[in-house]
Amino acid sequence: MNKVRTQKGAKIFLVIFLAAVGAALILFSLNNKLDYFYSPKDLESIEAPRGNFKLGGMVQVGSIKLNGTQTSFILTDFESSIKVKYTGVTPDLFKENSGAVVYGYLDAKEFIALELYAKHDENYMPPAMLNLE
Amino acid sequence: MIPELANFILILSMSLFFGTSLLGIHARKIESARIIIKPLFTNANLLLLASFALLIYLAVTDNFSVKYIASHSNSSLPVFYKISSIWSAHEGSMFLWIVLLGSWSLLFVRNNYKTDLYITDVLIILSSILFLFTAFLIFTSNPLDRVLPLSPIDGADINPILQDPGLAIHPPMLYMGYVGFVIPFAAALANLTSSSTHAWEKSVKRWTLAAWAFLTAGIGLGSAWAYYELGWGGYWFWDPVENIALLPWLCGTALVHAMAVSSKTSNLKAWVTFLAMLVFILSLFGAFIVRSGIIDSVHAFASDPTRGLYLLSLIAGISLFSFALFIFKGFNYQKKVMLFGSKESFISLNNILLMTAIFSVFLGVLYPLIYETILGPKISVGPPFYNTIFAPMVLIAGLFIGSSIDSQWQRPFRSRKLLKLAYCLVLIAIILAFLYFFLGISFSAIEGMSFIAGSFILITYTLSIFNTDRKRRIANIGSFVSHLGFGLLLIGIPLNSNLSYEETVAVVINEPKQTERNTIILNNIYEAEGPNFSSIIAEVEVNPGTNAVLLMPEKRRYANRGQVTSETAIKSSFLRDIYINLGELNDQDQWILRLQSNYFISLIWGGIMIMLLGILVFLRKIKHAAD
Repeated sequence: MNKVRTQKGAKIFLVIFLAAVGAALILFSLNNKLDYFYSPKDLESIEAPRGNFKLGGMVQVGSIKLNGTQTSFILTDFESSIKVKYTGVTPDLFKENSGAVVYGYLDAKEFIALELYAKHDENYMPPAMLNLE
Repeated sequence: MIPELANFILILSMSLFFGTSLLGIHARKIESARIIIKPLFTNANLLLLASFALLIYLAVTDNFSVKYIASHSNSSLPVFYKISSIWSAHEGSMFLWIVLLGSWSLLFVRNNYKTDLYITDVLIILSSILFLFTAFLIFTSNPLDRVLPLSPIDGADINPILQDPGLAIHPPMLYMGYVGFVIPFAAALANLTSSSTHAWEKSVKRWTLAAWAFLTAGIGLGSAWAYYELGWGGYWFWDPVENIALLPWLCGTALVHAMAVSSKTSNLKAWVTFLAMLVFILSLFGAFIVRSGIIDSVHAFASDPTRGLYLLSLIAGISLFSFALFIFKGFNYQKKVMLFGSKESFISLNNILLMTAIFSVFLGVLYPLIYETILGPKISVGPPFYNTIFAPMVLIAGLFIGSSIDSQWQRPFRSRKLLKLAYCLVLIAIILAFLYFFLGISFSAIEGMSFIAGSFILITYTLSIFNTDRKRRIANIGSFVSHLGFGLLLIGIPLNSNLSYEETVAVVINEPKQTERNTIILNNIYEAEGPNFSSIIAEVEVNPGTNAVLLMPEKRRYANRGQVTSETAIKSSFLRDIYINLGELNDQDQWILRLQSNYFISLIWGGIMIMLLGILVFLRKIKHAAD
């Protein structure tokens, strides 16, 4: 009886141990692959992040310029703003005075967007952008 | 008048579900009361259906005094979209979700003629769940609320993105999958509460498979919709809303496989019970994530914290109850020895992999929330995480699936098989070398793992057709076909990700533009009028000459909401899809075009369709066996 119990204990321990190792590995992998989300104001107060990150804000009125295949605009949170450059076709919902999220990196004082997402419709705002309005 | 009637019927149905569960609890002790609960349950469901039918009627007849219809439909819409507008937003979606839940339950209950304690408990569980959700619908998100006395003359119209046949099919299919898992859930739970000894998992096997088939189709359709209609340019984005649909799918996959083991060898019985509970709870979790809006997603859903809280407490309650019951009563099974190399051992190993996958996706979905709460910064978890996690698991799963093809139930591994498997791996190495040296395809580690897994499955399965040993012939055609489909999918994904590329150009009419790999000419661009939109249509020729492809991408502006949508133009072939999006007119009066070359998309859709076909074949077989 006792032997059976020890075996069971060992099994349970093994399962917990493996699960913990698994979780640790996954979390470790997660930490290397996170995308941080900032607002233009954050970029002033924090050290400019290295690598790619997400930036969210409103597209400033009258700031959209289309030059060749490149779209440039000013992304603002009404406190700070930053110029964003994006090469490619902009999403349908991308327009001035509405929300946008860009993914990319900082180059000098400009943000080079690799991906551009627009707000979905007039009723919808990603939770991360709610505090901007 | 009719909206009130529909509302009244809905409330009546909710009360009847409540009554059914109370009476059911009473009937656990008093057997003579059992005869009445099934008819009660049936009537509650019929009322639910009637109320939904009335909502459809109201939508078709443009009754804009109903707030939901006023804000999501319009008199100028075709009837088809008037109906599908019902599930284009939260309240109506939830209603459809509940109606489908009720219909599955009703079908299952009507198929069981017994009146023992087990079926009584099934009825109690089903009617309690239906009561809780109809109450949720009525009190937090009633689609039958009215705008009176000043009801609008016309509706605000459906979101143009949703004005698409994809919307009409994708959500109902997906919901059918989600809620179909209520059957194994209720059966597993009732089996524990009634301490029944009958093989519940055999009787719900085909129900589970059917739900799983619907979920597979629903996810596949969602993927296709994003690719063909929404113009997202791809088929899978690891977005939270996609991930939470993947969770019950992975769990359902584990469940149907584990069910095969427990019905063939009576191993894994406790495990099957656990999975049957988990799969439905994960479906509910999905509903919570989508409806509460607590996670950032590219999918647009109206969110409301009250609903989120209600749903969260509901799920917490259901999970606590189920898992507590499982811990106290779920382990009374006799164990059998499992031999390594037997079919059940391979399935068990794959179950472990699937659980790891579920855990990783779950963590990936919730991690931004945990991170923000504890550490502050907003983050998101993107494709790199999921790709890195999934690739090794897919590789191991592929190797197991391939090795398991000529394994048998309760028979150990035969070492001479190893040699055969080694030959297969050598063959794959040759294929990879060929791809590299002759076609210049060099996969990344992640792509390579998926490719190896896929080709290993395809090769071992194809070889098994020529197996002369009668005992080791393919026993189950459905499963055989499904796994082949899965193999094709695993080959299609890395080929697609490796070969596809994207180019953006700015063009003026009749001036050919040479990109790195293609020539693009804008032949013409003109305006046109549609039924409720005006559009700009471009005539684009790609690679004029022998391989010329003419495509007509379009931009539409819808009159009612002033919203713009792009209509992608796609030319599909087995090898490559040419995919063009029309962009804006730039400051130099050139049109911006995005040209994507997507390779082997056909293998991805084909793989999913073959998987589905296999499930259907298998379902037919079980049905025959059951009859």
